[in-house]
Amino acid sequence: MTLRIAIIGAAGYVGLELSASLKRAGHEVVGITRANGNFLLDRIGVPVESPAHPERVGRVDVVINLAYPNKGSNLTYGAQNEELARTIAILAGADARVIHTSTQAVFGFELDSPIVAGPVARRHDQVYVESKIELELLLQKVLAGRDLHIVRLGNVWGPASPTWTVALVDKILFGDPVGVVNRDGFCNATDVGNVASYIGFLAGLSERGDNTRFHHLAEFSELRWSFWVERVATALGFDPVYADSLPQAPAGFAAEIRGAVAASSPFAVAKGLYTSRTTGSYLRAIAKKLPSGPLTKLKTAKRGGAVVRGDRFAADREFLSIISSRTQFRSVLDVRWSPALDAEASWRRVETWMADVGYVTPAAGKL
Amino acid sequence: MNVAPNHPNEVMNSPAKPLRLAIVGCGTVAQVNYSRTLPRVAGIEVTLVSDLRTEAAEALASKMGARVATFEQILEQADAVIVATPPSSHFELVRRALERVPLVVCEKPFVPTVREARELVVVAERTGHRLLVGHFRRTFAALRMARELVQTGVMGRVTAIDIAEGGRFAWEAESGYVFKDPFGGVLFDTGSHSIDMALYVTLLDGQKIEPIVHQVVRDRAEPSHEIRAEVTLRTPSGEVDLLVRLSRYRALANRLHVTFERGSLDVSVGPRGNVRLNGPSGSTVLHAVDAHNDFDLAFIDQWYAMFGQTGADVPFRAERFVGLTAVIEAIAKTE
Repeated sequence: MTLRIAIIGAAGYVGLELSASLKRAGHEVVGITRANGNFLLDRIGVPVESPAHPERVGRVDVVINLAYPNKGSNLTYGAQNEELARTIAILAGADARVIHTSTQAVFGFELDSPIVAGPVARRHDQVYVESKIELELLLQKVLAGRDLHIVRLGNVWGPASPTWTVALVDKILFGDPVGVVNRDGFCNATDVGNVASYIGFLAGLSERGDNTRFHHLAEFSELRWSFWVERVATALGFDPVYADSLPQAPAGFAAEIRGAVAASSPFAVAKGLYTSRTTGSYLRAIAKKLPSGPLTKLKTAKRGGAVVRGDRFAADREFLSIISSRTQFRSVLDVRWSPALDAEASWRRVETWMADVGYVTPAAGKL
Repeated sequence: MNVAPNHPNEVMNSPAKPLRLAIVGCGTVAQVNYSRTLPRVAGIEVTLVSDLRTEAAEALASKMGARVATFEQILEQADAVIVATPPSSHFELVRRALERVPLVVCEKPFVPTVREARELVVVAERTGHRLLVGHFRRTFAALRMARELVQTGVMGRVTAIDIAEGGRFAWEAESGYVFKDPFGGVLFDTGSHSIDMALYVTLLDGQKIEPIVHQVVRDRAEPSHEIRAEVTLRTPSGEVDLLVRLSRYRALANRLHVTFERGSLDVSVGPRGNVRLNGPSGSTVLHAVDAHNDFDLAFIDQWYAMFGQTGADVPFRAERFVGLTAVIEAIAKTE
């Protein structure tokens, strides 16, 4: 059966794979994307519509949402989530199936909240985590009683995956730590090809639901990160580097505030506090109720002294904690589906990509 | 205009008389990058902004506490001007600005042809005014460290350069020039960054370069979104093979690989602070201690170098980008 499918975020990493996959399966795909994504979808023959005008799309059978707030001030993420939920509701009309991709991070970056294939409660956490939970809850409310699937993805792996594959390859190439000694974590990964396959499977289900169903997709969750690290390192010809310990983030109000005020500028202090897990969550909640003037002045205050350098390991801390995960994010899936790509097939695709895009020089065969 | 002689972070001008800076072209780079960083630079004040699109000019003026002005008013009143319009308009605007304004910054990519680049350098020399080009990646710590390593000469002569930079395009240019302007494609837009990094690291940016293009494969006529070019650079110090791969569709290796007579090095095209050195007996990684991954700080470093330094070694002087312009023009013109 040919379906008419609208994909919000169709020009993203998962979106392009999914759009191409659904087109190959014979479905009619419409991409909902910001203007700079148009030419990416033009290349694969997917028509586009702006998220500002979802009503122009017309009737669809399935709405797939891959988007989430990631631009502008994080104080606006709540409003962006509401706008996204409205867009989804308009596209879905009276009876379309909705498939929303979420993330394992709703259980915390370190998977330190109990993992349940069901609704999660709102809680104080990093802004990304809070925002993802909020969107899940919004959609459950807006689409109550409807055919809604929430698919929480593990770490999305695959050729050119920006967060994982590219990050891992670059860290090995440039000698940054790719793990912590004696902590070979669960990779909790899913190949982007399998993500496209599973979402396509859900889109084509003949039975319709009248409630929210939750899915967890991480078909490689049992594998440890060493499975991928060793293969990438061999392909590049360089030994991976490991940290001797996991960098610890300040935990709780007192430690977070002490860490933030160690910075020598008001801007760095504000930034440090706003992005911290506990303090930041409360500060953001307060800041949303304040007029914008004082905060804008704080951020653009002129300083005549030295420029502050940020902590270059802040990004590594999150990466290393996820890559050292002691918790497995097991898949919870419809038993009628099985992944098209096993781990070795997934690796071969990544290996081919590495050769295609210049990690291996044509003359030498290795860097 | 008083400037601090050496330290980029010292106050450059008397706080009572800051440098009056104007911005022509209030598109995304100005709205996003300039508005966040210029206010954090001591000794300058953005006083005037101009754009053909009134809304854009008013939005930037509001963000920066400046006044909307015409280009002519800017030429009359500004001590310095940044030209940040779409690339096809750079030559004319910069040429006119150089006649009247003591310091002109042209946003990258410089200009489309070597003829225009040389003409602007001559105008700057004739008027005694300074012309700089905004290749801010030259502030990246690892890039500077790689250049210093090359300057030691221990690796020998450069024999080959392999550049690969690509990713799914996410830049939301307000003017849409990246899709419409013949000089807005990935070669001019991204390639100007990455090829410049290559020339800067290998010390070729100060040399006369004659590019011989062997093959170009692109997805469409300019503005193209994916391109592969094989070039030989003829320079006074010898010939260098250059392979350029750029893409707006997919992630590439995003690194610069330079081969020397006695080894090779790898440096990221991004702000990552490490350089990998490869020799016959092994490989090692060096980390630049002042590295950071904050693009705002990179812009601020650039501003301090541009507005606070006047020596011949300022890395943004326009004459250092004539070779880059030659390489890009040669690739662009090859079918």
